[in-house]
Amino acid sequence: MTRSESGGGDVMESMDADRSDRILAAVKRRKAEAAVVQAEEAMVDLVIFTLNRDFYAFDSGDVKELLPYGTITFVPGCPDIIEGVINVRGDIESVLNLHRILAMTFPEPTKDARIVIASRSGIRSGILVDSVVDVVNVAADRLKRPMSTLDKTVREYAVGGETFYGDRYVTVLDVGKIFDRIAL
Amino acid sequence: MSATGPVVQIRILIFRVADARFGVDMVQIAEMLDLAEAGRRRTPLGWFNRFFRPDKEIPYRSPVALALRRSGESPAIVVDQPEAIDVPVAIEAIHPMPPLFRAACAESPVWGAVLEKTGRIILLVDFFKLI
Repeated sequence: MTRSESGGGDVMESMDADRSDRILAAVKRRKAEAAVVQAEEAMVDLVIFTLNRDFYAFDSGDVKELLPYGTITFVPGCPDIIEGVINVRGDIESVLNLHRILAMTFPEPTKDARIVIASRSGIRSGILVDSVVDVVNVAADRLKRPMSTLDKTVREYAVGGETFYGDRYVTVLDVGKIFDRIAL
Repeated sequence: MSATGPVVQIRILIFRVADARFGVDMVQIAEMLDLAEAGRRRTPLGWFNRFFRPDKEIPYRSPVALALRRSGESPAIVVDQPEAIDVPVAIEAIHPMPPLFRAACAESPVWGAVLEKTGRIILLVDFFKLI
């Protein structure tokens, strides 16, 4: 008797000699596919940076490049969340002051300061941070909901959740939310 | 190219205020006056930085007043350290400001930017939007 397995179609019950080999191959293929899907869903790359000695992160998919802190041209007539503009290889990019967006005190930038060039939904901008610490790959299930004690303004942008880097809390900020705050 | 053809270049006056460098389209400028002459003519003056940072004093090293080519009485704009006059800038060399700037700074008189060969940015400012 021969019967097709419902839904699969690739495993046929028959009395042929290599039946078990074909079943095993199908099992391995399915496990491999499932593992790829699971890996894609379960891991996230984060660019970890500091603001006033606290740790934050962006999803690395939103980060296009990291630039050393350099001359930022002040533009008159802008709110102070716009730090100015910079020349990035012939393109003019805005630079956002994340401290002010998050209602933090803004320290004088040091040599460790970086401009994170971020992009989301076709909008691109630099974001000034105090330093970039690391780029890490973390399991998505290690991202927890932000603590209720997190500052209300920060929590508004912390839709990515919180995780740990060593023994430090890392708040994952959403680039899209930051851009929306300015664009809308 | 006829006089009524499309604009292919503008000519700008470049000046500096604090550490920033600005360019203004020469078609907006009627004349450049030193402050003594502006005083003798009793020309009302508007200091460039005070239009957007009235709370912050910025020292001017060599201020001049730019009288505007505009009907009606309007102040001459006082700028610092004019560096170059009548500098041609091709339209295709003008960069629009970034999208977030345009969203957040609708009131800004800055409408574009030009890059020098050194990479420095010259912000193009519309004086008519200042006053």
